[in-house]
Amino acid sequence: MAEQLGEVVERARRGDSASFEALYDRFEPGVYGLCYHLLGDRDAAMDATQETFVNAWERIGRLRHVEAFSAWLRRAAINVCRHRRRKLGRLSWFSEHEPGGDPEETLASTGGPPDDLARGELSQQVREALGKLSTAHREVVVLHYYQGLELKDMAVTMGVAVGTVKSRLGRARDHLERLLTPYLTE
Amino acid sequence: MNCTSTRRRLRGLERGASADVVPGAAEHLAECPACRAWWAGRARLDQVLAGLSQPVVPLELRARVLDAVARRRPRPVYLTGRSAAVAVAVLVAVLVPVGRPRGPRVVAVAETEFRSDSLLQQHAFAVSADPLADAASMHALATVAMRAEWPGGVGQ
Repeated sequence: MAEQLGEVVERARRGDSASFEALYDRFEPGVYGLCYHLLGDRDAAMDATQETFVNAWERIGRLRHVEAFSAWLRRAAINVCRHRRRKLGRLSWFSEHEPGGDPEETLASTGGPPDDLARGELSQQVREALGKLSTAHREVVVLHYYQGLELKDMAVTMGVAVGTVKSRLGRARDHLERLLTPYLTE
Repeated sequence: MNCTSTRRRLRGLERGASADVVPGAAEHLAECPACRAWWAGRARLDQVLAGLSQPVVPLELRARVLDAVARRRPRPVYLTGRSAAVAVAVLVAVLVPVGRPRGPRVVAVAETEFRSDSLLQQHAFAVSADPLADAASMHALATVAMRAEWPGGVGQ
């Protein structure tokens, strides 16, 4: 699988648009999900996903290690989201199009908590709590819990030390715990 | 161990770690209902966050993105630091005649250094503007890529 991906990336590096399209199909859900959880808005996530892939297409020639494509793309998406968050500020988090009110908008992740947690009020509360975190804290939460990265991989992706990631994650969990206390008791 | 120190030490644990790894914590939890409830809530927070949902990708997104991509072309890859230095060295070797008096050669080297510095500065600007172009970062990202998977069944 990894070799196949490497071949596709290599062809895309040489300017093969069909190969890049194949990469898009493979990474679209992950990039969109990452942008969605970082920006908290469907339309903003769509814009960020588009910008991420356009940037990737324009700069893929600079990618020196084809096996790094997925991490490179993840970092590109995070940079795009950071830039957009700075522009947008914290004025809006979830728009009226958000999935909280429409169960068809979200899919429960596989292997996660019980299905009832993925939808409904708790799910909505978690998204709103995420919106109250700082950008740095939201990034560590999304990378750790949604993307499933380990601390050292998060450090590389975010360009900070492992200790920084650990402290940010601890503080983010403390903050979320305070925000979600009423929903965490059995 | 009291409630404050117990919670402070348990907070430092990795996600999903057992309280048993903190000496005295398990004993405190056994006799303190408030801390026991707090610790259970902490575990539930991890469980809830691990269930961050995969949002449904809007159907119109694919066509929109690929249309935008089709209107762009990959940017040409410019010379980076080491290759730029090699190119400058080749230029110097070609352009500076061998056997000329020492004086003019010194001038030529000085010009070359100036041009080389300029190219390196351009490279530095390029790297600072685009951290993805940095070779060290790319090595690190390559390592991450081999370990990390994208959610939703996509990735390597």
